[in-house]
Amino acid sequence: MKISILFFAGIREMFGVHEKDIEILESENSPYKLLSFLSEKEQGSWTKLLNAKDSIRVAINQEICDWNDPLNDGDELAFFPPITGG
Amino acid sequence: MTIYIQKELFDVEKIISNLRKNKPSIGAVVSFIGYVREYNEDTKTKKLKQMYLEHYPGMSEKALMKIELNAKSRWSLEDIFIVHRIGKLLPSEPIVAVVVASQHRKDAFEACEFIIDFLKTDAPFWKKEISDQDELWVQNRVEDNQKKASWNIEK
Repeated sequence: MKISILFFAGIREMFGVHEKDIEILESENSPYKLLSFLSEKEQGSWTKLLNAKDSIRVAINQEICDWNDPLNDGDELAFFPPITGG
Repeated sequence: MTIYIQKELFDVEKIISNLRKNKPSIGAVVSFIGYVREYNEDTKTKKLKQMYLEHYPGMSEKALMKIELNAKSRWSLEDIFIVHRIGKLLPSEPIVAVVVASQHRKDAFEACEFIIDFLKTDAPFWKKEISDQDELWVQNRVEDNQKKASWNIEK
């Protein structure tokens, strides 16, 4: 299945891009499973992101979600640091 | 209910007069305006040159709409207006305004505080401080989460 991954603020700077479209296996069907898979496969920023998991937020289709929520084909997944607006 | 996310400065007087137009039932308007501080909150020595505000287009509008709807379901309100700036901001410039109108002051006071408390933790905006020494993303404040939690509701 295909999903879009968006990065914001410090995480966007760490990856050097705002968006990545990737093809993933049916088995990587949660943010946590996907991040673990990418960390193992590509390391680098993915591993840094996984290590910082407890201090970052994840959203699916523009709604804050849990790390184990389901990911489906065509979803928009976003990783970002805690919110500091206002 | 209105939400603006914009680079430009805003004029609160104009927002209030538009809000009150044709609504003689409004007896109270409460506004909160957040401004860019001159010095970094933690060091107190780093003088800010500029602040940069990033957001998540699409999600930020939805999150603000959800906060407005929650406020409307809890208090008796005539109207709500939220404007949040993005991009480059200078010290002393306004960042955000929450303007709430109601028939009586209690509803507007409480709803305005509720909205800014939830905006601080639920609306995806991020601040970067560009000082004469460095550029740093602002860290979130424990107090903001505690303030939100004090309302004792899930979302």
